Amino acid sequence: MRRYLILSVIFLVFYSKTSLSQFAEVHGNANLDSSWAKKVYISRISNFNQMFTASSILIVAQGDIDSNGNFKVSFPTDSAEKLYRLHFIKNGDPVSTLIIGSKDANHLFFIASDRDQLIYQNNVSVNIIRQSDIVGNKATDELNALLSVVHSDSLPRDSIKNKLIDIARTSSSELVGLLSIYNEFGLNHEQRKTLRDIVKRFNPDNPYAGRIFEDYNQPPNGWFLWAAIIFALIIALIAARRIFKKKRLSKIQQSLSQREIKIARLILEGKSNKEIAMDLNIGLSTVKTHVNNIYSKLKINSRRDLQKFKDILVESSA
Amino acid sequence: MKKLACIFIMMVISIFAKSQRIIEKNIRCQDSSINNDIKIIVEKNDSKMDYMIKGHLSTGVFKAILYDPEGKKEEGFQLTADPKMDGPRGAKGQMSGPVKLPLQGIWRLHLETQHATGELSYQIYFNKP
Repeated sequence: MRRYLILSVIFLVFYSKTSLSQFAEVHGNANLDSSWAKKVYISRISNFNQMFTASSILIVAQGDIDSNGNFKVSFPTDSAEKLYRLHFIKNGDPVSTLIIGSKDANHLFFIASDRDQLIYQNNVSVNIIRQSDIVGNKATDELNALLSVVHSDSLPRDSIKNKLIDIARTSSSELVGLLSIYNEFGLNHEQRKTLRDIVKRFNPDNPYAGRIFEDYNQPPNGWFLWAAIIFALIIALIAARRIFKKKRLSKIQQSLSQREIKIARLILEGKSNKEIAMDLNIGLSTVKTHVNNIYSKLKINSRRDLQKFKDILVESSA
Repeated sequence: MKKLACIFIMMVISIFAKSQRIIEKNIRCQDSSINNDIKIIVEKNDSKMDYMIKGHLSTGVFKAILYDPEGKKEEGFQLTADPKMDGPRGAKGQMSGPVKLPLQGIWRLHLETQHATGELSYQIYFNKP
């Protein structure tokens, strides 16, 4: 027993060491002037709603920038792809500072898992932090492509919608695919239908899926409404038929005597007047009189016409 | 000559005043919880809209989202300042950008705070051709 306990503890320690304590790294050169603090921060973005949230709770690592602008930051990861944000701050600004805007942006996003090595390199212009300046894995490349579509000023809206659908369909990174769907807007019926098919290729348990599966897996409202209407109509028809039958039955029962109902049922069984007279032990002329009464009360002219009342008369005997 | 210069300056000022429209407000919060939608009317002749939304909190939460007339999120950010973690500096955020040929109609700036202490502001400029 003690041995098992020791083994379990060793396993747990080993498991936690290998699966939870992995570190990825971002290194590079920040081409920033002296108005910027010599610090870089990494935030873990656990869901897409946090992408533009400034909060120190999200920061998982920070690093120093040396006098040449070089930095290296390690941060904890796990085996699944996660979204991260790297940001710089200006001197005197709080650690949780987020500047969003084409030229003033102080952050960029990347995806990392396991022991990924990412590189940030800004060789172009001082103080401009661009999303495309971070590379190192395929998921981040796909993310850069997606964000360039999302923030495009030049693409027409319809083109953006279709490009986002394409990215959702083709991205090898599930996180990028989900983010692409998250950024969709104003879709028409066909586009929603396409996305419903695309969504099936993602894992619904992905922590970034959020409401995406709820939003795209539901049957469209129109379909729901029609199904409900048809169902209600079928129920109403069945109920109306039953009520109608009951009314007819009570009408027949009121108009025909018990003896006439019995004779009508025997006629429906295919018996002749003679056989009915023998079955009921009455005279043939009496049977004929009853049959004539039945005809006149039900406003029919033949045994064939009586078939119309078969289900009502048979049901009433059941 | 002086008269002419004055007339010229007045003309320039009047043309400039006509070609630009500004919506702006500064809000000081003290443990405030607000939930406001500000309607921004973009007119047919507005060729460009520049916006700047800023927030600096010592405590609380501030959310700002700008939506276009079709309900598409143009931009948005959230600040969460916890004095225990952020210290006296709190959290700071800013979103800005030009929108060239903005969609005509009613844009919506959603501002929301929860027990926020700090300063918020928004400025929206419209340029006419």
